[in-house]
Amino acid sequence: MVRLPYLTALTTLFSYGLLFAFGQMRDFFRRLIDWSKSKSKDLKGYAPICLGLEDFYTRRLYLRIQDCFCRPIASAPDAWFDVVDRYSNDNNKTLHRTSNTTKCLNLGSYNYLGFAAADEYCTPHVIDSLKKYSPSTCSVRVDGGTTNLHTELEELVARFVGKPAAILFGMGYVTNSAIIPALIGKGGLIISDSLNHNSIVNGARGSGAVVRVFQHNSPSHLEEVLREQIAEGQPRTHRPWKKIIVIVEGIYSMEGELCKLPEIIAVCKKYKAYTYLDEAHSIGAVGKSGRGVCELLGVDTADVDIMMGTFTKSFGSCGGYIAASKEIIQFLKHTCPAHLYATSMSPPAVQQVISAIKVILGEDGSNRGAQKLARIRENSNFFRSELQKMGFEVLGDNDSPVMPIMLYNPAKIPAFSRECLRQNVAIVTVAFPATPLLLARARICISASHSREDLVKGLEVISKVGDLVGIKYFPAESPKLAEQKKNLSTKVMAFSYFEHHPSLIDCAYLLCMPTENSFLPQQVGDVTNASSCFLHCYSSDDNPQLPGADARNLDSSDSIDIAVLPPPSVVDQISHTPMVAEPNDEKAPKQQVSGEKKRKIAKDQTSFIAGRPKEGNISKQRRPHGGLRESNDKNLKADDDMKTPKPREEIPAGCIHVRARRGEATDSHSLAERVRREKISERMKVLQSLVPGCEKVTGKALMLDEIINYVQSLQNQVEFLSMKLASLSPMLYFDANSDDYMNKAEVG
Amino acid sequence: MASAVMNMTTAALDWVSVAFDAPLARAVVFGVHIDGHLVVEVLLIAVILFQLTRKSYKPPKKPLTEKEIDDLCEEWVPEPLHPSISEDMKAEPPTLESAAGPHTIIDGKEVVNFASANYLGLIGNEKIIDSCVSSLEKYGVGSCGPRGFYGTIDVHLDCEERIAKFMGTPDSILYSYGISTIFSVIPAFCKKGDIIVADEGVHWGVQNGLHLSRSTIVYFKHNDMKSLENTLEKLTRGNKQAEKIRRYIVVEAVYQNSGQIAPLDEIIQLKEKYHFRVILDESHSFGVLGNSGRGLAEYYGVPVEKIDIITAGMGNALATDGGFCTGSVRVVDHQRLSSSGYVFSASLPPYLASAAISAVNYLEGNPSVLTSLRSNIALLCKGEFCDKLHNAFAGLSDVPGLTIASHPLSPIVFLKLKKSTGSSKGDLELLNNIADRMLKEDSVFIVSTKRSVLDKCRLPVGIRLFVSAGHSESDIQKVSDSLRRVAATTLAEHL
Repeated sequence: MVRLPYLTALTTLFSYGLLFAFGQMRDFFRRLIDWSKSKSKDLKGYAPICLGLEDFYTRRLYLRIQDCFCRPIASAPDAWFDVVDRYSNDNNKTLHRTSNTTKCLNLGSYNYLGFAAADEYCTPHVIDSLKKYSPSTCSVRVDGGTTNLHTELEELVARFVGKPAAILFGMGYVTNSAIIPALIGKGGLIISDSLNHNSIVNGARGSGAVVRVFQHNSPSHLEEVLREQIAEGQPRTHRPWKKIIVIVEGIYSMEGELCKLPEIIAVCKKYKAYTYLDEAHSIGAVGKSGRGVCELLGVDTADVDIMMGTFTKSFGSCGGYIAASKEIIQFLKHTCPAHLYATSMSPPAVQQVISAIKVILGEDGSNRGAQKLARIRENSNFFRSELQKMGFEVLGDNDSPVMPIMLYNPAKIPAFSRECLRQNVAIVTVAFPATPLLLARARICISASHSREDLVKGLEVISKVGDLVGIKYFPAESPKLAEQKKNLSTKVMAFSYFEHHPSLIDCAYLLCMPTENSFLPQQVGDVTNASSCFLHCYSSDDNPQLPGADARNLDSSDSIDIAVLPPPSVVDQISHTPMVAEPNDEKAPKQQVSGEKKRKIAKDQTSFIAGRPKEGNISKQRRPHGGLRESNDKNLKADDDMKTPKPREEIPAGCIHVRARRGEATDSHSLAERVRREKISERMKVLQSLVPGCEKVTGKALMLDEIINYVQSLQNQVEFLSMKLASLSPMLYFDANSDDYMNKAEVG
Repeated sequence: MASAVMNMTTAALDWVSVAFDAPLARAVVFGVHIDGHLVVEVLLIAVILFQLTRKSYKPPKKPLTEKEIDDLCEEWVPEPLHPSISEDMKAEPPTLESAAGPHTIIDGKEVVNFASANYLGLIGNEKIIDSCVSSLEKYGVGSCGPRGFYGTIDVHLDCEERIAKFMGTPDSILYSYGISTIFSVIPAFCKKGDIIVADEGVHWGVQNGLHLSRSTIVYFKHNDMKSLENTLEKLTRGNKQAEKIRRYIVVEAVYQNSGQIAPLDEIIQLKEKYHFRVILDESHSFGVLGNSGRGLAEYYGVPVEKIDIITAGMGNALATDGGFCTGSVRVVDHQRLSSSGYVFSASLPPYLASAAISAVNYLEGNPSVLTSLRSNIALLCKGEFCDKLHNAFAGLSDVPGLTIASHPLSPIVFLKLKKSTGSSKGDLELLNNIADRMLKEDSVFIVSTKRSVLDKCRLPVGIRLFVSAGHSESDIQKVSDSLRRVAATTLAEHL
């Protein structure tokens, strides 16, 4: 969700108003001219193909910037591709191709794993199967359109996604729009995320079932809708619904956001609704072994009733699949119109998917698949964090290879797109039909085939163009801050010399911790700090159950609060910007403040543990839940980095919320809320077991008091120790260059 | 008595008016005498206004309590996602072990294939495969993006130009899947309030498109021009509004549900008379009908501009995949931003577009292939003396229990039961039986029409034979002999 600053909203609306007014004026004169000319007789008696304002947007707005879309390319959509140059003689009304091409960096194609171009393993297999099977079977699956390849891929897909059976379709769009009518009909209810893809919308519309929409990615609103609908039943007759299907996407292609799948599944299970997960963008692209959001978010595939995905993106082919239980697939094979009436998927395309999945699974005898997966995650996270550092408003979650950059103003769309292209970077800009009118954006899709140099080049260009066009809505990370952080890290490197001595390391950490917190009362702030460093002391070795997976789960429900908090250094700068301030706590009901505080503590703890490995860049703190996932994989590797402090999170005084909190209900009926509370009490139990004497106390407040005391005593000890250390070797203290120090230490 | 009552009334009235007039008798406000009835009127108005401001009486509403909702949620039991699986749902179609050409391999046995709509015999064509290979090497397999976002590859544009040139239309637009073409095109042009007149025998893709358009849909009897005319007449007569709303006739050139050919000449006359636009699905006639394979318009000698919108899947005669829509520049450009299957879907894999280009080139260069296709169709339907020495070979015109329901020129030879069992399920069982036995006993692969429960088409089911130019005379003889033999035994008790 995007919270639009008022000023930007105003200028954007004004721009569209202006365009609309000029368009109307031109339409008026066009009508005058048409009227003066004699009407052609052919069309008399026919209503025009487009009535009134139906194509106004196309004629008067889209055509002006037509050259930014549908740019033809003349090579495979690999990391670099050839964009065909076009020219127009009539102000963009028609575009003509030339034979010239420009080599551009491709940041637009959904080539997540880099299978789009010729591949050493896939392409020979594909060509073989092309020669064996020809491009098409000219028949439908139930007649003569099933080849060996089709059955092989169906089994392979089922195995890959972790479902008993699967069925193939020749096109991703058709998969959704033809399967939904087969699953549900009159008397059924479809509850769909508000930002679901058009194919789902069309499928739902074609099914004849009632469609209700829940707020984008909000499990609590989903629960609200479910309760209301189950209680009310079908409209007018009030009969109970026959069945309810909840449809969500794994990664939202225009937002780059990951679905909050665990919470949504929990809600659906509670209310006996079926879940339909569209993994068009996530299958192959995310997850440790490329198995999509279920793997990434730790959801058992058995809990998802129907898993849909496409082969267009990660696998570099075409078509789509449905994976579900054996019975559902049998039923679909007997009923689904796209299976019965549509030409079967082209055999070479099937072969491409088979080979691509084999590469991903490592069944081709190499580890290229694992490399590709590691590469795309690395690339996406690098690119996202760099973009955020530059001050762009980037949507979406970490690990997601899709990252939209907000543009807002209509004039910035062509400006950004053309200027990037001029500097040989091809970027997709998305405007009205695909996004809400005010939320135009540029979208970047990262691929595993991008090298680090490619990405750096892309970033340079985007940054330059971003300055030119004025889309860095957040202040960039100042060089001073970067310098400061660098210094910090070198200092701590010095301490890592004493790795065997944990308390020493932590004293450095502690000293760098700011103890002020503007939002929370002083004491709570202390508690936060104290408890988090306390946890730090124990989390890495003594208490393995704390970090990692649990923290991640907790976070995804809580992330909203944390996600909006930029670090203090950023806040200072933001407050000077003309954006509209909106205090964060305004919406939290007063009486819940105390509960809020407690939750905050728990949250801060988890975010600290996990966020720390990524201290190197400030953006990770702005969206720490991404960092959490990161940390999960890198727990071990990150051990060295763990000691660096990071600036405290603070409630922003004057910045825009990247995500809205609306709909995040805190009432106890909300299942998501309940899950959250359960997790908090779980963490409390862990704390209890850590602090001696804590288990005797009942009541959370008392327990926390006990913990505070304990931590304070620890703190004192540490301070004492560090003083001792300082007196021992004063040159350690904080201006020492790490190399210098190492040398001296050795000499000493 | 009466006068007394009268007197009393007048007295009462006088008294009332005096009572009203008295205090304000001489009051004049802005030149208006304030007298009794004005006071009464003002009072009345005040009362009315007071009443109007009151809420109308509603029985008190008691919203469900949280507890009740919890109970309701607890009680609610959903139907399973799928109905129980019957035996016939478990049937698996035969799996091909080689290309789906005129001869293919099923279960290690070579069979004659009459199940693939490979009308021009282009499956396995060397030239097409070569063009695909070079395209694969250059562009990779998938296009990795929708047309708007760098999914447009130059071969797509070349293919659009090539098809438009071949059809003689100003422009054309490619879709990435045959069946999605028609169900994206119809909703792009027809919106709520528009009128669509459609044949009742149209296939599921068209039905879905009609449903998605939310227009007013009127069906006419399958391929019956009288019924079409009546429908058009009924819709337009006396309806002044009709001029202002868009009106379309949707027909298929060769109906895949019956093998009938739509009489385009009559449709064009009717369309011009009643000012309807025509949307024509040429999936099974493009590359088949007409002297050079340009489809139904060429076959009837109708100028192609008269048909407003032509769509076709390329998965049949052209032996590739995807579909296209062709028509005037305005029609095509309109789709580029408003057709959901075009805008929101990844584009056609480039090698399939190359295959389409080479297939059209091949068709233009070798019109003889159409002659052999036609002679094969005629041979299969009517039978002929294949040579003077051998016996006469009878074709399918006299298969026991079955009758040819398709047009003599249709590449889909459609056989239906002479006497239906009464239910389409029963019919289908019989026909499936025939097809299975032919495959097992005689190595001839033919198929029956399959119907999804979602399909609204109520035409009788039957056996479909897709004739190809690549079939030899002996293939045709084999299928007709086998069908006659198996039909005679299978349908024996039924006859």
